[in-house]
Amino acid sequence: MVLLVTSDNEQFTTEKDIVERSVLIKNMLEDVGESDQPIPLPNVSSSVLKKVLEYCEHHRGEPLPTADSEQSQDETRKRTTDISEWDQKFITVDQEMLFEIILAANYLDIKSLLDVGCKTVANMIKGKTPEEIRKLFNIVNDFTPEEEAQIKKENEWAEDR
Amino acid sequence: MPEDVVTVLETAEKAHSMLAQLDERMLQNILDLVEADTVRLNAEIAPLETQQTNALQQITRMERVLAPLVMAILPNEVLVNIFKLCRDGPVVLESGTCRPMPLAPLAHVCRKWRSIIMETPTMWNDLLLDYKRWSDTVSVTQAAQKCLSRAGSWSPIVIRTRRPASHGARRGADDTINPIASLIIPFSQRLKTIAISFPYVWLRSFLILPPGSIPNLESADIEMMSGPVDDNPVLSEVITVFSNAPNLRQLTFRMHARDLVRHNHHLPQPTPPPVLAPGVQLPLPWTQLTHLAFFDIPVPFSLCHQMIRLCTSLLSFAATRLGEIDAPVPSETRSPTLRSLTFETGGDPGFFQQYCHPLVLPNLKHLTLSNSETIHFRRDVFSSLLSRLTCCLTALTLSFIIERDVIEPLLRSIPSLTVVEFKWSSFPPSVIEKMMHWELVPGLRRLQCGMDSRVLKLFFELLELRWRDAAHSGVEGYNGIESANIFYNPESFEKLKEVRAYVRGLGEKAMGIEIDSDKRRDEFEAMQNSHQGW
Repeated sequence: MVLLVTSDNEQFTTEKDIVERSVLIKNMLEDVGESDQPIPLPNVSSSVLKKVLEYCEHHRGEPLPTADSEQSQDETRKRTTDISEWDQKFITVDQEMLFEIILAANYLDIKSLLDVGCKTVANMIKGKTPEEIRKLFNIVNDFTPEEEAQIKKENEWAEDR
Repeated sequence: MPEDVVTVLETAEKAHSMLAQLDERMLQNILDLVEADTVRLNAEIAPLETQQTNALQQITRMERVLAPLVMAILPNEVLVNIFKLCRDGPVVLESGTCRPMPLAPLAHVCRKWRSIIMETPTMWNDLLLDYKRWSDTVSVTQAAQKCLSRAGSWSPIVIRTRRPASHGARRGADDTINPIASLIIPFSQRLKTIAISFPYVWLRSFLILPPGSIPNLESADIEMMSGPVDDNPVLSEVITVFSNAPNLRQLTFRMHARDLVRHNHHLPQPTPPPVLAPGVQLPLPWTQLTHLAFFDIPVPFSLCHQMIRLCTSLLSFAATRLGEIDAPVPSETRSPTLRSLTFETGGDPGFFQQYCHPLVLPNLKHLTLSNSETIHFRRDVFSSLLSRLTCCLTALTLSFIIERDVIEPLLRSIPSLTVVEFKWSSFPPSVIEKMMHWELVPGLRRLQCGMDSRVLKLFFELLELRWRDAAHSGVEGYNGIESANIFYNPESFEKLKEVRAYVRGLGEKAMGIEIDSDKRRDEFEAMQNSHQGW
C-alpha cells in the first residue's frame, strides 16, 4: 500500500498498482524503495486526487503508453478526439475541476488521463469562433487595436498573390 | 308627434351631448395623468438601468479577472497539446477565394494563445496542400511557405498534397511556377514524410536532387499525374534523390492516369508518361527499405525480381501492374523477410504464372491479388503459385471474382489461413457449412465474402450453433470469428435493413459482423421501380 498526502493535508492510502499509473509516483517509489514514508503531493488537492485515483482504479492493469507508442500514434494520425464512454462520464465535471484534473495529470505524469482532459477541452473549443471561445472560458480579449488590425490583416494572409 | 314627446327627446339629446363632452374631458385627464406617470417612472428607471448595466459590467470584469486564473494555470505544453487536438490533423491549406489563416479561431482568442500558436514550430510543420487547379498553385504555395517559416529551423516537416479534381488537373501545369521547386526543395533537408501528387514535369526536379539532400526522409509517397510528356521514362537511372537517403524506409510510387481515363471518357485523354523502361536499374537504397510499392505502374519483370532480391529488409512489396518479361526467367527469387505481397494479376493467368514463377517467399504471411477486370482463375494457377512460395499464409485477399468451384480447394490448400477476404466472390453453402463446422479454415478470424439470402441464413444458423456449443463448453460467446464483412445484395433495401436489425439484435456476440451492400438505398429503390414497371 502507498500513502499519499495532498496539498490540504489529507491522507490517501491506495494500492501500488493503482497509483503506479502515475509515472512520477512510480519513479518515486522506485527511487525510495520499500518504505512507509508518505508521498507528499503539494500540487494536488484532496478533491482532485480523489478523482485521479478513481480514474487510475478504473484503468488499473491496462498497459501504460510508451514513448514509442505515443510517437507512432502521432505519426499514424490517430489524434482523434474520441473519448470512451466511461472516461466521458468521468470527465463530466465543472470547468474548474476539469482544469485541475488536467493539471494534476500533467504533474503526476498520467498520460492517458492528460489525454482525456485535453481531448475534452479540445472538443469544447472545436468549431467555435474566437468570441465564443472567450465567452466559454471567460478569457479577456486583451489585443490592442493595433494587434486587432494585424489580426485582420492576417486573415487575408493567403489572399495576396 | 305629440309636443311633449318632442320636448323629451330634445332634452335627452342635449343631456347625451353634455355627457359625451364630459367623458372626453375625463378620459383626457386620465390620459394626461398616465402620461405624467410614465415620464416620472422613466426618469426613475433610467438611473436604475444605468446602475444595472454598470453592475453587470462589473460582474463580467470580475469574472474575467478571476476566470483566466483557471485557464491560465494550464502550462503552455498542455495548451499546445489541446490546440493540436483541435487542429485534428495537418494544417490544411486550400486554394480558393476565401482562406482564413489556419488555426485562426484559436490564434485570435487572446495574446497568450496567439503567441503559443505562432511560436510553436510543431503547430506549423505538418501541412496538407489542397491544390484545386494546377494552373493556380501560387496562393497555396505561398501560404505553405508562410506556415513553414513559422515551423522554426529544426522541426521535421511533413508535406502532403491533395490532387485536384480531374478538371483542375487537366488545365495543365505551368512550367514556370513549380511548387516542388519553390516549396519542397528549399525544405528538403528537414523533410520527414512526403505524400505528394503532382504532374511528372514538376516531380522531375525533386527526383534529381543530389544524393544526401533529404537526410531525414523516412517515407515518400509519390503520385505521378499526366501532363506534358516527353519520351524519357519518369523513373530511371537518372533519379538520384533516394540513393543516399539514410532514413528512408517506405517508398511508394503511383500513377494516376488511369483514374483520369476512367472518369473522362468525353475528353481527349492524356498519354500516360512511360514510367519504367524494360531493363531499368533504379538507384534506390535497397538494403534499408522495408516497404516498397508501385501502384498502377507496370513493373518490368527484371526490376521486380531484382528489388525483391536486393531489398534485404523488405517487409511488404506491391506491384499492381506487372510489366513485360524483359529478362530470362531466373530459377529463384528468394526473400526471407517479405511478409506481405500485393500483385495485380492481369488478365492472362499464364503470364501471371510465368511472372511469379521464381518467387520463393518462405515468410510470406499476407498475399493480396487484385484485378480490375473480371477474370476466371483456374485452380492450377493458385496451386502452382502457392507451392512455389513455400510459405504459411495467414491472410489471403482476392479482389476479383473467382469461380465457386475453385473456392473450396483453394481454402483447403492453405490450412494456416486466419484471414479470408474474397470481397467479390459469392461463397457457396457447402463452403460456409464446412467453415462453420471448423472443417475448412479452422483458424478463421476474419471473413470477407459475398453471400446470397440462403447462404446468409445458413451462416447465422451455424454461427448460433457455434455460440451454443461454446456456451456448453464454458466459453460464453466465443465463435472464433472476430470480424466479418458480408456482402449481401437482396432484392430490396427493406430486406437489407431487416438483416442488419437481426444482426444488431444478436447483441455483443455479433460485434464485428457487418452486413455490407454494394448498392445504396436509391439504387435499391430504382431497382424495385424498374421491376414494378415490368
